[in-house]
Amino acid sequence: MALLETIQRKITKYGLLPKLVRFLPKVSTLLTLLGLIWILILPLDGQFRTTYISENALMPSQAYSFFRESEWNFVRGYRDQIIEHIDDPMDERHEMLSSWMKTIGYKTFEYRSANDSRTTYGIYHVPKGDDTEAMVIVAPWTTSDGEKNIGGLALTMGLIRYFHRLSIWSKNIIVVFPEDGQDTLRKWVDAYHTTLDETGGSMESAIVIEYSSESDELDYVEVKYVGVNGQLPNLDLVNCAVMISEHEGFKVSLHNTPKGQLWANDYPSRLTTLLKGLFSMATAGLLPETGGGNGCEAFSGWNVQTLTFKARGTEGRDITTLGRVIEACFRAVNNLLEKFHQSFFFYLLLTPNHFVSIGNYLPAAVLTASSFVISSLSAFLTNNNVNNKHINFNDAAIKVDTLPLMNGLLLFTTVTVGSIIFGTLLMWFSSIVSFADNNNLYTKLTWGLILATTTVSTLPVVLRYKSQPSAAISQTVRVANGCSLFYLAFALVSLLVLHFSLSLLISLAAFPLTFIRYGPLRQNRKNSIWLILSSPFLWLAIVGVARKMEFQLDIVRNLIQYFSVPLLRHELQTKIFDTDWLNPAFLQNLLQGPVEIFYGLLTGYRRFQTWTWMVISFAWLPVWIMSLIITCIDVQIGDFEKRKVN
Amino acid sequence: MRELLLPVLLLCALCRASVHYPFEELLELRPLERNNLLASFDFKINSTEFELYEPEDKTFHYSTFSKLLGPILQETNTRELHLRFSQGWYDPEVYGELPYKGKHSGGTGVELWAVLEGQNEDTVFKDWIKLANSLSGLFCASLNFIDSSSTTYPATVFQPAAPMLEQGLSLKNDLFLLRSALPREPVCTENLTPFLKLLPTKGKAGISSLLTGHKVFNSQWSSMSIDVTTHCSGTKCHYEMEQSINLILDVPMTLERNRMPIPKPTPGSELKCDPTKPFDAFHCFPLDDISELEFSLADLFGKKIQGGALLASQPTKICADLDLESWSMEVQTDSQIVPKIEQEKTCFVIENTNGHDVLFRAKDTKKVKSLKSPPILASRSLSGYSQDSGGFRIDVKNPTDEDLDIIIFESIPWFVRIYLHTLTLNINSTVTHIVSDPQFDQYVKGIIYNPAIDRQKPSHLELLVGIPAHTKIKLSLEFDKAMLLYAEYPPDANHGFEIEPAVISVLDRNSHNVVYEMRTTTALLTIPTPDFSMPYNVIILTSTVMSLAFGSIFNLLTKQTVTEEEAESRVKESRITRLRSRIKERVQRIKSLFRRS
Repeated sequence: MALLETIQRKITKYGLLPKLVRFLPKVSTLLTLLGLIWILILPLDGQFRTTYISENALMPSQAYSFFRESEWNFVRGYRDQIIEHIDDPMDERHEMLSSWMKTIGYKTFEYRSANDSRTTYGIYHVPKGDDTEAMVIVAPWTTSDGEKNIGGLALTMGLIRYFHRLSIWSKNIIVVFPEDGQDTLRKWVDAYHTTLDETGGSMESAIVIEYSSESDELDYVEVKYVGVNGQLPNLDLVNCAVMISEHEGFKVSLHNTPKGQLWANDYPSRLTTLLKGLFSMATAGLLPETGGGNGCEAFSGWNVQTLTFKARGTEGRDITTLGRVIEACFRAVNNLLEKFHQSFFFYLLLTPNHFVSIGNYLPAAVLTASSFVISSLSAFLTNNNVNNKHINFNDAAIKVDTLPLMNGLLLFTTVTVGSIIFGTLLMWFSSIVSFADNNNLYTKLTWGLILATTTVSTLPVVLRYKSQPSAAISQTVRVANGCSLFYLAFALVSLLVLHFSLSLLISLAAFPLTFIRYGPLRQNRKNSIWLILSSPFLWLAIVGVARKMEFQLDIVRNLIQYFSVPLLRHELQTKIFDTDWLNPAFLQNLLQGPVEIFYGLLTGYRRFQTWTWMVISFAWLPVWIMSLIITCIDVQIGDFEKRKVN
Repeated sequence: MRELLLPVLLLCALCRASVHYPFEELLELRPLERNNLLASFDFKINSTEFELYEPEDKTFHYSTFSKLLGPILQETNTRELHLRFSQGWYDPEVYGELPYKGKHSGGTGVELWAVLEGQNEDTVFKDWIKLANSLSGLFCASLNFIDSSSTTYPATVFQPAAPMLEQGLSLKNDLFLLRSALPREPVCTENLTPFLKLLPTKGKAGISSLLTGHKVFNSQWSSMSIDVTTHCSGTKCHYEMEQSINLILDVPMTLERNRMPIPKPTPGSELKCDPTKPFDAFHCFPLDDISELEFSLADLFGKKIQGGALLASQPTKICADLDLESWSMEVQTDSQIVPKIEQEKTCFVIENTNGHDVLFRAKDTKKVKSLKSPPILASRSLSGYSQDSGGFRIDVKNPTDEDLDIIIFESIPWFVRIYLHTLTLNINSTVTHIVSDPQFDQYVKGIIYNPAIDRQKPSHLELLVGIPAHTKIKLSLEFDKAMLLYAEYPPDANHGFEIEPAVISVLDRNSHNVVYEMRTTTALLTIPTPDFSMPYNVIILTSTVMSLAFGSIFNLLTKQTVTEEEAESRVKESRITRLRSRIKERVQRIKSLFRRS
């Protein structure tokens, strides 16, 4: 205490306060940089931990699996039938699976969601269990890539037949065959927890199988685990899956890591996985109507630990090996007496075997969010008015008269409420206007918004309106600016524990807003750039186009890490020179990227309870609009001259 | 008395065949659909007569009635006792209606209800706890966890099976009906052993010799029940005890496990493939239709019947309810026994101590005597996912051609705070009525509700519902989840909390007697569970705050408040400053000395 006292005394004595206040914008920038550096430090040796099975009861891969030999014949037998009937009408296909399940001894039911998409599900009430808990195995008819899930369906049929022979189960087994792994599955999961008559107890875990090839073999597995709103399955389940897969000889890929990178475990590869993880968590649940859903989004929010196994490649280990992996996962969950609670629910994976826990990565988002707190403080302390640049800060200057205070708050509230209404209206619009029938309308809307926001960002440069020098204006602008930045800071801080990656990425993308300075209109060129850079719709366009271009961070990393000219030339050749940029179909597809994501954003809450759009339209967008308005106001005088003029 | 006992015993041994005790046993087997088999073991034992209110020092002679159970019943004034141990999920589609119309089947776990005689509720409750504790020791079950927070006093269901008041008996005190259930209890072989000990044959002879733990609990569904009732004529009373075990066995699965305990893949040469679909050395569409079966009791139970229960008043009887067109039955023993047809069942009796086995042969197992479908189908599910609230939904379907009156009985622990005003009724997934709608009363004709008291009493709900023919209704109810005290969590709190099965009884429309009874499955509820290291965090945090507060208050108390100038001048005068300046001076002097040289 004495030390703080001394410091405080010295500050007042030497008049350091005004200097410190003028230093605040630099502190804000420094905090964001520190946040970034924090993220970059995480993949360094010593900053992350090796994964481990925390719950002793799981005991993965402790039993010898008999899903081999003649069981393979059955998988092939089922596959032949599935291939034969894959193009049948929906109901016939489902009836076929339903009859197979009935023969095995599963109780089968159908569920039709509102869009008339069908889900067939079967429940095996295991003889020795108490019928209160269930493990779910899901094989959608269509995979996330839009292919027919032939191998996945056949493997699931083979597995559930084999499961029925075992007498080890203590939890019910529910097998689900939805038309697709996103909306249809989600509807079924919702119905299971609200209206379905036939249930098998509370779901402990769900495993989704995607294996689109007709081949007998696969190369490696991709494990998908990201749910919406920053929700992840318990790390124990992910660890089990990885451990079992590696035990059976599979390499595990996370976030679409290509095969060549699966053996890498160095700083750049870990960083790449970390960044890809951050990005996929932040964009989870923003799905177009068809394809793209990994299955984990569908179970997200219902307290079901979900994993998706996606088979990659067509050569290597046989299909029953994947079956054994899934069997071992089921056995592990079956061993549980308690629900998953031991290990982490918030983590970032660097490789399948290494992770950073929440305590280690959270400071990054805290730093970037606090940068907004500092800049809002800086705005209140008159730093953002360019007229104040050369004048010393003093206590008297920060006082705000009542009328400008009210005006500033009113302006801020109006903009925020307006933006919230705008966001909600768009959500309502998306619920009544179907995407499939009105694609053109959505395209116009999305690109209209992108272009409109970019255009209005240049407004501060173009405006030539001159106002009377008035202290009231300068104070009003100061209050509005400070409030809006504080509002964003508040939103980001409250979001960061729940949805770290979204909070971090928004704070980085919106970071240029802290550079916005107001003053006479002629100094506005920089402001326009900051506005364009921090616009939510610009990022929507970038993310959408990058998704359609199949941008892979691993390629960039490869180029940087193993730099060689031929490699660069090759990449440029395939990605840029060989692309027919003027091909209308290609452009059309490219332009469709942002549209699909925008649709995903608008419908996210209705379909998957994803609140990404709400965060954007309730927090980011109003602050952006506020910044735009501020820069369009001609503030002629500084806060220190107000007593003279007025 | 004791001097007489030995000669009597010797005499009995000599004329064994002629001495009979009030004991009967019957084993009934019935093939069900999908190659399942229902085995019902039924034992009936009567005690000797006694006076209902006899002096305490009176000695009793129990004969075949269990000497373990008798004193417990006497001591606790229990006039009627019902105990159920059940496990597994009963599939009415495949198994038909419950054996004995559900009279002897309990819900998952252990269920106990009893009629006790006593002066008032307090004394009866003491007796009830005593009864539960004694039975807990006797049956190796956690019945000792029964307390007031899990005990209900059912109003319309579980009514006495042998109403004592109707027997023209003048009771000294009132009768009370108490019930409790432990849905979490895993039923296993340690419950079976004491169960068999109650029998006069002790599992050594008669049909009970078939019952071994690892076979009984390998069944698809099992239910053990004990029902003791008191029957009186005049002042003379006797206990009647009925013990029964009902099992449903998956025959091919049991045979398969005998053949190969490990589920190894079927060798390629033994694969059964569907000939209508392509198959070769690599491809095989499984043909899971088993229609021919041959099995014996020894295959199913691991043992033969070790002779009959020769002390019984009726010889040990074994019956099978077969469709004789495709099923045949053969008794395998030293002497030839030809089963007789009695009431459409194929039966035989065992009258010696030789081992008996029964061989069943079926040409087509799909042909079984048509099953009686249950009058009611019901299931219960949990709604919602949050840590603070949730809901139940009970689906009840009446598949019959008649309108039915049913009673839904629920006993819900106190930490599940149900809200009766949220009760809604949905008919055939189309019309929904809330509890205040006048139409609601057309279906739900009566509600008996005893709200819970925290830590003392569960919520007790009985709904009298009328369901029209071929109608499905769905009742939903919402609840809040209460917070538990730190010490109230069970050892594995993260497992969740079991909510005991709802009991659904179908009433006869005229006599209002229960004609069919079934139970839903247990529900597993997650309740906000703390991280149990939390108290230590709290302790650490509190200590930190305390020490910080102490530091600043101590500072305030001991420090003097002065102006800044005064503080600085005092600092100049302080000893340390003087010492420092003196040292500085010395250093300066030494330095200047050096410089000079």
